[in-house]
Amino acid sequence: MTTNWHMVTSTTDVAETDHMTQPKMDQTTEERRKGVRRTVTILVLIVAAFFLVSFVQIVLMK
Amino acid sequence: MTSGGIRRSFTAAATLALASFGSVVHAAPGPWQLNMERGASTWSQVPYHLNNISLAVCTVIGILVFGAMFIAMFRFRKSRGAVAEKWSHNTMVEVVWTTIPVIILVVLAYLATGGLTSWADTTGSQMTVKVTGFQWKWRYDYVDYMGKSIDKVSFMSKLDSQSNQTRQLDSGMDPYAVKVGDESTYLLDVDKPLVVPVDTKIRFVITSGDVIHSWWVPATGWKIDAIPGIINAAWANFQTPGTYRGQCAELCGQDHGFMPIVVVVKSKADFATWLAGQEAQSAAPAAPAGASTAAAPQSAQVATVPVSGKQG
Amino acid sequence: MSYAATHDQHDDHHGAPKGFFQRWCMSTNHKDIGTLYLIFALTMFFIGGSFAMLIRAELFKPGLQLMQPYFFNQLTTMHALVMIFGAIMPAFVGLGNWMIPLMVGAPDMALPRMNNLSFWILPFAFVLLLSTLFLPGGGPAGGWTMYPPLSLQSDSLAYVVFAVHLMGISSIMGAINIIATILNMRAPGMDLLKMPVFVWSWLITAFLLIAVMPVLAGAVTMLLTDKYFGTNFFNPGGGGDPVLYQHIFWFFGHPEVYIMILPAFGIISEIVPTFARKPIFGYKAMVFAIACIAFLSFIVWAHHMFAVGLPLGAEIFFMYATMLISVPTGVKVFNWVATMWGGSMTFETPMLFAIAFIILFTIGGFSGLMLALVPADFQYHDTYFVVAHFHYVLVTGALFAIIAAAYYWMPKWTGNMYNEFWGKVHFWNSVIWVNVLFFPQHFLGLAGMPRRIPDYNVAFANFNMISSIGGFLFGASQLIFLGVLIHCAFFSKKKATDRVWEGAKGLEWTVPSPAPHHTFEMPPVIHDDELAHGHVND
Repeated sequence: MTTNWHMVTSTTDVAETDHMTQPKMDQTTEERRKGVRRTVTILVLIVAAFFLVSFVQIVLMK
Repeated sequence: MTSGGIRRSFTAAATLALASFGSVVHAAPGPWQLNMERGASTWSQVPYHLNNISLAVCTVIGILVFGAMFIAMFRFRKSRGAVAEKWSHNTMVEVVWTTIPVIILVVLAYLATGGLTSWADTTGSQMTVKVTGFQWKWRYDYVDYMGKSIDKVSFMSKLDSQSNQTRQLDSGMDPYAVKVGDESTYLLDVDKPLVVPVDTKIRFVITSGDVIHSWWVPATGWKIDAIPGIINAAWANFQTPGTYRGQCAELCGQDHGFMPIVVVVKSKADFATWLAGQEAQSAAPAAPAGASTAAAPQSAQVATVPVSGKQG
Repeated sequence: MSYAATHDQHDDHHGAPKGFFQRWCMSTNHKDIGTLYLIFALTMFFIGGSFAMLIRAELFKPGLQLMQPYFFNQLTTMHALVMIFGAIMPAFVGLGNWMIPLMVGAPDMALPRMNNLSFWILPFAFVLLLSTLFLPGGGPAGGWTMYPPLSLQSDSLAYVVFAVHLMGISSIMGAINIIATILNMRAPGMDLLKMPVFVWSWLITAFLLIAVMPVLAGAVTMLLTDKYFGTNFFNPGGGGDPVLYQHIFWFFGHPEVYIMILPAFGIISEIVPTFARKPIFGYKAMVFAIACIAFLSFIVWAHHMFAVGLPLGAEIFFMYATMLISVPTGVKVFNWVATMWGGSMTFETPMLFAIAFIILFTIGGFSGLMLALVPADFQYHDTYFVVAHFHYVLVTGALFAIIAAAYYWMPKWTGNMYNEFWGKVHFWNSVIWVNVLFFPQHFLGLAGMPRRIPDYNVAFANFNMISSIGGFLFGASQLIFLGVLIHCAFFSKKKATDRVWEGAKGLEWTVPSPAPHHTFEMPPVIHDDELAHGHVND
């Protein structure tokens, strides 16, 4: 029971384990980190823009 | 209790369905009323018919879709040995059930647009009444009638005292006992109703002295918000003399539920007499009614000063 | 919830932390935070529900029996705020937290620490909001829409505004996290168009959240400065305009409505194929329909304002745009029916709730179409017809989908099967009483009963009494739900298999039940036939 989760990941595909070597994993992690950073930056900008737009809307419509 | 209530509702639905969906004109809501009222103005037919048509369209679509669903649930049960098929696409069917709703919508939109355009046209009105909402009463100013301006006919209209006593918490009074003639008028009666003539295109200009209210008499077929700083306009042309009841329809504070609207529609001759009486009353400076109607709006406005002070 | 499987695991890196505080308050684990969200939502559901019971009790018969009108207004306002921001939205975020990483094969959310923060803001926001009920002057009583000038008369405005700010920050962070997870953390091979529909629905919902929560924040900030700092954004006396608030509010408010229903569409699109044992019909159409609805939600806001006196052209535009929404929504309903057609169906509790969702949500959609017709809306607006409409889409829509999801994934979360008999008892009670509760409200609205009134003419007495009886029994039925949940989490002896449901497809069913504390630390390999919607290229 305790090792179930290991079994899940290891039973997926034996041939696939070759790709899961350490450098490959680090590379994936690094790519993900960059991707997340980029996504978050863009989203935060959108948030700020919409917050300001609600005020601009008031000014424009008056 | 429950089953009794449900059984009664079924019997009532059966007996009243015809009446409710038929052509009965309600001046006020009736018990077990199921459908929208037809209204009493020339325009009020529009929402009534749109309501019935769209309800019918939805019912037919509902029967088809839910019917298909129930057939599927019956035929394709695992317990009946149904074996799942593999398909997950059918372009033809998908195009059909996207197109048909579009066609139905175009028809509905056509009907609604026509009705809306006639509603928005307030030109050619023969009378103007200014309606002002206050927490929690209405003020009516008669502006002009048949091209003549009306001088100083204005009054406040608020919940009648019998309803007002009955509606107090723990009043111990029976809401069913509040009646005018045979009609139960609990929370739907006022001390001084708006009086208008029949067969006259009346322009209502509507605004508010404090918060947002909404002036709604179902017999006119519309409601429109009374907003401070903004004047809205709408029109009604009542076809039958009678008493038509409505309520404030926009949350406006603690007594939002207690500021009804009553419109009494009189024949043109009766209205002329009534109007002359009102004008004479306000012309005589010592007349008590005139003094109280003139004072009331002022005090109401004074009462709103702290509110606007807070906002500012 | 118990994680028996992970408790006796001594490897610190892989097990859950042992201390209660460490495990729950300092959690960065998407499953634990998901659980926290769901428990929070359930708590708020019962608090908001108790407000609803009080409302229905006062409306049981004409005349005021229990409370002053002002307190009644506080109840209607709080009921809405608590149910929308406290129950429905956190429940969907909780489901998203739990299931999205499992469904896309990610080890966790992209930003686990922020995930913790976005949950733990919520209890403080709601303590702030609910505390107003015990303060002098009482809670907010101007409706959840907080229309000025009325909302400016309330003494608790500042509390409500800050609570809304906190909820907004929480939602925005949650949404950023979900988008970042879905866009960056998918397992190799999990292409965007292979994702489960639930994940798609959350991706689109998260974008809606990002776009509209800041707008709400802006609107309530202006309320705050109008009341306390002498600005005149909405004060006509100072050149402001109360209607502008409504435009800004509903620019938030309408997408908000879809924020509460799109994830429900996703859930139903998971459950129906599982129990029909047939791939979802028209996967791409389903995704496209969700995207369409989301886009349209930005250009229909003024249909909440048909009675404020908009220009004729604006009313016509917003009417047409609103009617258009029924096309993609119709496509979704037809596709669910087509998914059932030719399937091999069984009717476990999640499927029963899903079917009830499809039927009753569609009824809510029908009344929505009727409300879109401006002339008819002049009569319907602000009556019980509207109340019936949005409770059909939110209670039998959003809430039923959440309940269906809870039954559907409960075995995966706890490792135990819930009690099917009591699940069905809960279903039949819910579905019957919810209709007794809300269907008569259509009639009340058509007969002319305005909403948000504590007392009414005797003509409305019959249907109000029926509605109240339905309300009490629907409320009581949810105690069965609570019982089933507690039994399933702590007492059920029936262990769930990994697959749980015979027809279940998707990555979440490849991990053990209960799902261990950490999953997919190594990205799984995706087999297309493992996915719920079959082969996309067919």
